[in-house]
Amino acid sequence: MTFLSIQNLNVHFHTEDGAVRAVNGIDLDIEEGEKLGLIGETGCGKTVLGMAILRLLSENTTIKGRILYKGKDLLTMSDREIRRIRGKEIAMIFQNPLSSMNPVLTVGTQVAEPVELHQHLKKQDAMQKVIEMIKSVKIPSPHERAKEYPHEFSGGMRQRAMIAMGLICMPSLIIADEPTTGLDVTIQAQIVELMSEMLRDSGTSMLLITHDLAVAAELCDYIAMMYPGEIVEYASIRDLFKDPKHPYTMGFLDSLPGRGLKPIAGLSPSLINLPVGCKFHPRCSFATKRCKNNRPELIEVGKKHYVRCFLYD
Amino acid sequence: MKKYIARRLAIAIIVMLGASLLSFLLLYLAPGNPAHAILTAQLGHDPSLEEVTFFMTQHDLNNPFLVQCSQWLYMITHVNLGTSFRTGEPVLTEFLDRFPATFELAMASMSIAVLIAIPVGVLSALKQNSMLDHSSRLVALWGVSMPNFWLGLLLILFFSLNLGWFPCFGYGSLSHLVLPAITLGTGLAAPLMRFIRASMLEVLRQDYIRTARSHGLSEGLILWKHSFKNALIPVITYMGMQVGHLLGGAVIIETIFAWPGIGKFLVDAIYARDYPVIQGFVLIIALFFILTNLAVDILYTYLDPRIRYDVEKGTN
Amino acid sequence: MSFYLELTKNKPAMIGVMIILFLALIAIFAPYIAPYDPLELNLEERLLPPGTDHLMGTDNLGRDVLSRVLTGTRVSLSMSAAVVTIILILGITIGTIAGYFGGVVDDIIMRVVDVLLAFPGIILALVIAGLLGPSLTNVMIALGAIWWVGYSRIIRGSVLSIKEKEFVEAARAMGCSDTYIVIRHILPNVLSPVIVLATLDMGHIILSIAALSFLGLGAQPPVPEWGTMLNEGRPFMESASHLMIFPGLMIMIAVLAFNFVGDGLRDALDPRMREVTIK
Repeated sequence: MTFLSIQNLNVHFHTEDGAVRAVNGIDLDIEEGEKLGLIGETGCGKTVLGMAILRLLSENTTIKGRILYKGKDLLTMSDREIRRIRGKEIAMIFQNPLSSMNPVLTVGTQVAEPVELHQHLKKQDAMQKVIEMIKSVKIPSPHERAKEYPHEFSGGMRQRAMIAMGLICMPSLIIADEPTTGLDVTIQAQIVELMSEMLRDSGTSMLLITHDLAVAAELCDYIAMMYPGEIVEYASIRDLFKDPKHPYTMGFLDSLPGRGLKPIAGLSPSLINLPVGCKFHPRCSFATKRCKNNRPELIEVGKKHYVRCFLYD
Repeated sequence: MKKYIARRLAIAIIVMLGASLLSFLLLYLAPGNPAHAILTAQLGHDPSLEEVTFFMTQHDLNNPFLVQCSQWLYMITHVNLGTSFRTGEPVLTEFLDRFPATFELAMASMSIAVLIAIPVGVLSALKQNSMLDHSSRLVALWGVSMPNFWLGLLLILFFSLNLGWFPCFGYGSLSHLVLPAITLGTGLAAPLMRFIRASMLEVLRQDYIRTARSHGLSEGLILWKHSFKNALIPVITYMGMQVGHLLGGAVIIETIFAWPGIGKFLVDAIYARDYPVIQGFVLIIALFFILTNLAVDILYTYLDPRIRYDVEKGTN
Repeated sequence: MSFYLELTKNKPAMIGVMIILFLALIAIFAPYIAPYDPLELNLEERLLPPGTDHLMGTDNLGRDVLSRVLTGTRVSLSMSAAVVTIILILGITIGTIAGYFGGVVDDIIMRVVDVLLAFPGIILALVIAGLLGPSLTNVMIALGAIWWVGYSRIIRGSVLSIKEKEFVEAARAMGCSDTYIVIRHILPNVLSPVIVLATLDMGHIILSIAALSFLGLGAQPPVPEWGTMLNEGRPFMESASHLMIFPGLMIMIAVLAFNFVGDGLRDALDPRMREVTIK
């Protein structure tokens, strides 16, 4: 039984300007202990996907499909059941740690929150765990720091605090949404190293959502490339770098600093006015008439390597 | 932190000084000779020249401007606000005599306002765009638009004259308090409810609410632990500012209901051109207002750690 | 100014606009629409309840209430508009001077503002109007003299923040005079919140004028101001309660209309207030 199985997920928002189709028919599996990187540009719907798993989306959304966690569908669970899973079995680390933390509560109080709730610990025992956790995310002077407020922390420390919050209950699955975005490059490297250390030995699964392929390469086993609303390629790290199949993936790799910073022509389509046929065809140098009118399916092109492109069909 | 408080206090004192000067200057706004006007009111006919001169000497109104001004400032620093032209009692005494009545009205009204506004405002924000939200917003808008003196009159018309449930003026028992408190209270509740709703909405859309939810907290716990404290901070500042409206509203309500508080006395003094009372009361009210604002500022600093941090670092 | 389009989608705001237009029309054409002369006494027809001859009844001096109410619209709207104009001129000018020139000028102005703000507005207006002598003009002066402070603060704040922006430096480098910079570059950017505030304040000012008149300090009889009418009707509350209803109703409708529009403007200008949240 797959650990986490997303099946034919559709997430649409209703706005005055039309329906925003953030996620269109996505299938994705994560095995136990596996670390999957979900890569895409800003606005492709990857954060929406991450939040959909824990049902953190706001109420004017239509969600269809199934998200099976250890066999149970998260989308049809009762409120009470999903609350038991949030923070304890599946936890999320959000981007923008400054806005994601409550400015009037101390960092210690907030890091203690999941563990107080789920393990019914008394204040002192909880604080004990908090201090340990703060230590393990390499924040110096944990006792003093725990009593401070979020705005007193630096950007890097705040991110570490968010990681502490996410991992304190030792969840089986961590969803990390852009954990390195907005940080200085040197701090980014530290965070990546920290996460690598903490996840490596614990057997925790991870869904890493980011636009930074380099970070994903350090932390993940498999990569899913996302283009507005859908997965266009899925492969192991090795296969993706050595043998990218989808034109978008190839363009993405070319745009990395190490490879020459070549941009992909054109703009990402808006999620309200998605192109007909293959979503990428307006920007694709290999586009044919077929690509214009038909949407390709996800096909297997190698061992655990899938691509959504007519070049291979 | 102490430096911050000291600095604010110093500014407050300067402002109080300015306010004292202003309240003194008000006297000079009045056209004509105050003595003449007062005596006319008192005697019922035009006073003679001797009567006017005598009055002016008696009340030091003959002295040059600067002398009168410094006399006033001197008096204030010795907590002497003059004597009422009408009653002959010290202004301060008259104020203190009537303050309890106004305080009673103010407390009752604020309680009503808070008891209505907080639950309605919070629920309205939680269930945004529901029937409850739309109807409470409409009612609040109506409450803000309704002249409170009209409401008072209508309540008197209906509940006092028609139904006879409550007396329409006077002071003394709980039933005397009901109509004036409801009039003033609902008038305060309407804008307060709107503000609380707006504040809650602002808090609810913050990212940290989502973080708390992702930890598995129930909506109720999120509300209590995260939303309230954050939403209430601006509300406290707002309520501090509303003290001004409370006092203004009290003045009108007391006049309608013949409620023997400082508001009614002030209005009566204005009609009778009882200048010392006008000057004195206005000054006391201003001082009270300044101190309330100062207290709210300091309280705010304690409640919001971000401000406290800025203050302590000296950037505020 | 595409937010005006946004405003049209707001139903209550549009209702408010229509009511205001309607009231404005009444104000302009009052002398022609009113069935009777609002000042004409008719002692034989005193205190009549609403009926076919007098749709809103007559008051204690036999005057037709409907005509007085209609004429009162003219009084209230024109007086309030005048006060708001005074306030805007004073507030914008003083605020701009304080913000633009800074330094000592700014300090002095702000201390004056602080002192004025130390007094609850209504009470100060009450006292000033009372001391100057009861009349509508004096109420206008009183309100004008104290209400500008809020605006000057807002304008000053906006001017301060825009002053530092590059395009102002560019203009200065090109040799533009201070006045030119202020009018051409700074003011257009700071006017939006002011417009919202002014609309909302129209409602407050109508209420304040009515309140002061009600206390006998504003419009004096026989001027048909709504607040004054309520005051005149008080002694006859029991016998002729219709005198209490109509003027008060008009005040409420007028204020409600401005509040609808003001709220709508504020929502339209603040995109965060929109009901839909997309993450």
